[in-house]
Amino acid sequence: MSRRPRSRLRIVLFIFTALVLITLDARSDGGPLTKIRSVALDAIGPIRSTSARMFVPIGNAWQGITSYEDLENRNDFLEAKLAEIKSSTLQIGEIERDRKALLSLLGARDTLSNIPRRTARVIDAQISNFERTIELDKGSRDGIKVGMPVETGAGLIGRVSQVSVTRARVELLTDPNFDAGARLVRSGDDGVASGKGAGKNLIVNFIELETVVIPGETVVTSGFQGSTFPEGLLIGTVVDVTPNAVQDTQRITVYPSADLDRIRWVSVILFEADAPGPVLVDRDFPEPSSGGRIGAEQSGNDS
Amino acid sequence: MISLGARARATIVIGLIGLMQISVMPHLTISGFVIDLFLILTVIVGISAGSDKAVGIGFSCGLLADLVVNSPFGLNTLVLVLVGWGAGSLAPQLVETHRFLRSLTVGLTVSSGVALYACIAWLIGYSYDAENLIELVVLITGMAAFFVNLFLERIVKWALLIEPAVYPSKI
Repeated sequence: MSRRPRSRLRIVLFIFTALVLITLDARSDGGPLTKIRSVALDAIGPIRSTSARMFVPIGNAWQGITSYEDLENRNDFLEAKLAEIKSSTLQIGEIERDRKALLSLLGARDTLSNIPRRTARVIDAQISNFERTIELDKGSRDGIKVGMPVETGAGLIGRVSQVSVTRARVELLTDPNFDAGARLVRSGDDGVASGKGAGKNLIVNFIELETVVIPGETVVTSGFQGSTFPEGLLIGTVVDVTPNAVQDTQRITVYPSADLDRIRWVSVILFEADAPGPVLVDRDFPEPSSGGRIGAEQSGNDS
Repeated sequence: MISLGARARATIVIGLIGLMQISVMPHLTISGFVIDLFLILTVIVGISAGSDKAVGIGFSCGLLADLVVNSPFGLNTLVLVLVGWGAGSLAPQLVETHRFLRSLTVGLTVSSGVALYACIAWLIGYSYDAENLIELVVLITGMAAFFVNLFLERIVKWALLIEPAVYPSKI
């Protein structure tokens, strides 16, 4: 065989192999390719941890050079935010005391504070421009499983998308593949929050047209039965409302509460969709229909 | 035919590039965008040594990239093989041109590679986080490739023992 047809055959063979791999990956969820990736994640984990320690200062200096204007804007934003937080701290303390008092009166436990968590350090930033996942220094041996929610003190940041023995990857809530049941705290209306890409706000769909939604309103996870998120995790605040008269719904734009750009430490909430669920009733309008277990317990308390 | 020594050097270079991609590059981003060394390496090999070597390097780099990222397995492999083949097709025209022009071609080809990735991702229905920023990814990765080529080209030529190739058009 001459050189030219042989090299053509090689190209065709490589393309064919790549297409087979793509097909295999799409058809086998949790199959051998996922396991190979988990092994690779464990193998490169120590290298990435070490390099993170070595290169973070250099990276910070580099960021200072290449993104100086961004850093300045960010600094201004954070200063404004700090002033805002200072003024609302006292008010929050008072609300929290009231909330706890109401919960104890209802005999209910506070779900979120009762779910065990695993604090993890964010090892590294992304390797590729086409995915904005973050990598954690905890894995399946720490009880972390795929689908578990991840948050910072400021709110939800995403969910675990890949787990190996010592490492976990988190899909951020801005990812276009991210979906979560969302609830408007003021009205108690439920919808679905979806990611729209890096640097963009989330969109909550399926909110009824007659529901009054005010910009600044808080949005939390709805935690329906079977959901991978518990009820009441802070997602963000409403920034815009667009009515859709044709579908009889509203499209709500939500600004995420957590800062997704510089995450150093996170909490993985060890919540499993099918595990016996804790109870939460700290809503304005508790409804028996919102999750069987929750509803049953509330009815019991009421009677 | 690639000699055993050249194969060993190519393996070392791919290993080192892979190591840099997973450990160093995530910290040296430009406006938050990562420089894709796998893609740049494939293009440089293509332009310096032709499509035959470039598809082999592209395939190896693609598999490595697929192992460490979360996108559909095989997507990077497919893109890098196609980019290697495409870049290799440019080689006969560029092999004896000025270094600046070669760097410019590497930059443009890398940008095309990113665009190709976006197209294939769209075709297979894969949504990714930077979808709305794809123009910026194309621009910044291409610009970065221009500068990276100035350093990486010599290493690639050393690794693969590349001498001015003899192409059918030049005989």
